[in-house]
Amino acid sequence: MAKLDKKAVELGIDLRVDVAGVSFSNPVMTASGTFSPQDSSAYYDLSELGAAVTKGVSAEPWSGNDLPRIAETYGGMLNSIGLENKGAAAYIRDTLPFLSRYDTKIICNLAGHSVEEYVRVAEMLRDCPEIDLFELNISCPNVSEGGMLFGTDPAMAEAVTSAVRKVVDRPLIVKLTPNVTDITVIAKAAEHAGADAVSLINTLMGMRIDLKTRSAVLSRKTGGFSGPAIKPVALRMVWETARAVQIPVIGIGGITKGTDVVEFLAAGASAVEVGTAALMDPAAVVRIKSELIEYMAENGFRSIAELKQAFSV
Amino acid sequence: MKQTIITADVLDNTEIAPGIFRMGIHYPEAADRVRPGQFFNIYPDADRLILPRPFGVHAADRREQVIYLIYEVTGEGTREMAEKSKGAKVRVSGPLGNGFDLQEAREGAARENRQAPVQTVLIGGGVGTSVLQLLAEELLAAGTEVTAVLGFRKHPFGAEELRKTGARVLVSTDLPQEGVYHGNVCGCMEHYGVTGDLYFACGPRPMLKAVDEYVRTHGDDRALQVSLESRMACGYGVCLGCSTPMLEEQENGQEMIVRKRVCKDGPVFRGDEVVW
Repeated sequence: MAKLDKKAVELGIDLRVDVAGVSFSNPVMTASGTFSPQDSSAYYDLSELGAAVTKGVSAEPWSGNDLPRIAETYGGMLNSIGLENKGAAAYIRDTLPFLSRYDTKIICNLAGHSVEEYVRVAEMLRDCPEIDLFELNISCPNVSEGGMLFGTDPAMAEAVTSAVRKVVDRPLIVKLTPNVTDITVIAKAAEHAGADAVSLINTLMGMRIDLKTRSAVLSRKTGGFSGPAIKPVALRMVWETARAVQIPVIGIGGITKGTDVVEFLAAGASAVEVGTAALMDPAAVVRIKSELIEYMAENGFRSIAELKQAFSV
Repeated sequence: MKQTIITADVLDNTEIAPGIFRMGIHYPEAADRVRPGQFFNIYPDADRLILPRPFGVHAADRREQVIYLIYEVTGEGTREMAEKSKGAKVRVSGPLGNGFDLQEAREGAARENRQAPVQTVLIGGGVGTSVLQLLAEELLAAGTEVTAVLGFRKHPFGAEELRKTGARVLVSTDLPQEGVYHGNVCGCMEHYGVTGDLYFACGPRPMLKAVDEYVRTHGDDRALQVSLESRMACGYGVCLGCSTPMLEEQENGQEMIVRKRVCKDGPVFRGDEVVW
């Protein structure tokens, strides 16, 4: 039984949601790459989270891209981290024991350069009892092999999803890239291959040029565009996908306040992940959840299902 | 007690040199505990600016519970800061990062059988000079002798304030100025024969690299601590936007290149750790 939000309980509001057969205390989760258990816990109690979605982890350590990796844009930002991570062994040794002290669900985001690497990291982590769900990252735009390459081709998306599906017995979420002509095609491919849910969107490919240095701001020239500026695009894609697949959709993209969550739920999302907002305010996830509760109280919604039913989108 | 962003009062915001401002912020939770070399995130007000701006702490008034930051207006975020007048509000969080390690200086100064005082050399470039104020105060309080070498492009600032602490202060400028050394900080140190037992530096990376070379030619860059500047997103360790290659000695004694976060593992590193 997941920890219930005290304020919600006092107001008679049930924030629980079920996604892929797992019950979450509330629909607000972190987004991978913008959350670190040790560092985020300095700002809030991680038990407040619907789920802790951890940074993409690969079988072996990855050192990521050269600096600069960050550029601010109008109402958003570009990043080109390149999935730097310490690898699955360090994840098992450091991240999971720390996170398991908190009363929240753990979603482990998996990264790889090839089907074999995705399978390998899944094999290394499949028996970890702390992990509640896996999220397959086939949407990172900042690596030259793997990542988004798998998320832009339905056949490859299906191949990697079904390969990892065979390895893990925990529910599997596939995280999708918006950098495609029709995201529903990829979502359906993932569903067909056995995904239990899809999460979207990962970042949009973007670029910035520095007029002083007369070169691209990011060392890798292009990067992933995120932040409040991308919310309308994310919302549209979540809405399209929720109508196209039977499995649950987790909404991601530009969420910075409680009413943004309401919009994503209204568009068909079962839960949401909050990413860039955590860079704009370390405790954003908790504030956003609290704002969602206030919105529900003001509008007389006693559950997430009731809220969703009130909208006709 | 969880860390948080607070909305604080701006008590002072003065242009101390062309385009260079000093901002005093009432921040009781931080003024007591901030250490030299730590930094603060300033969160912009405008919705279009989403990322915090990091600034090294310049000084702290422990009695009045005020922290001071020095910043240069270089873009929209710092322009917004410069427009704040006394009484305005600013969203701030800190102190962040690890400051300079003063243990060796303190222990050295406290050693009874010392022949001569511990000599510390503080080197700063541009707005990087700002962090030397609090550092000099603490090193002098620890009983070391302090020489500060400041480098600027054209307009020096902060030298008088630093002299008041009791530090010896040398100033250099790239463009010729009346009464100061013409050249860079390393040229200035060579010119005045500045050496010490421990070195502390903050400024642009090319300057830090030159200082590292200077310290190596006069001894060992393990005696040097540098505060690195980096473009950051979060400032508290989660995004890896500032993750920089560093040398780290492994258990088997071999050195390996690993990435460390300037915001969380730094911003201060030993000179011999940095992959220059």
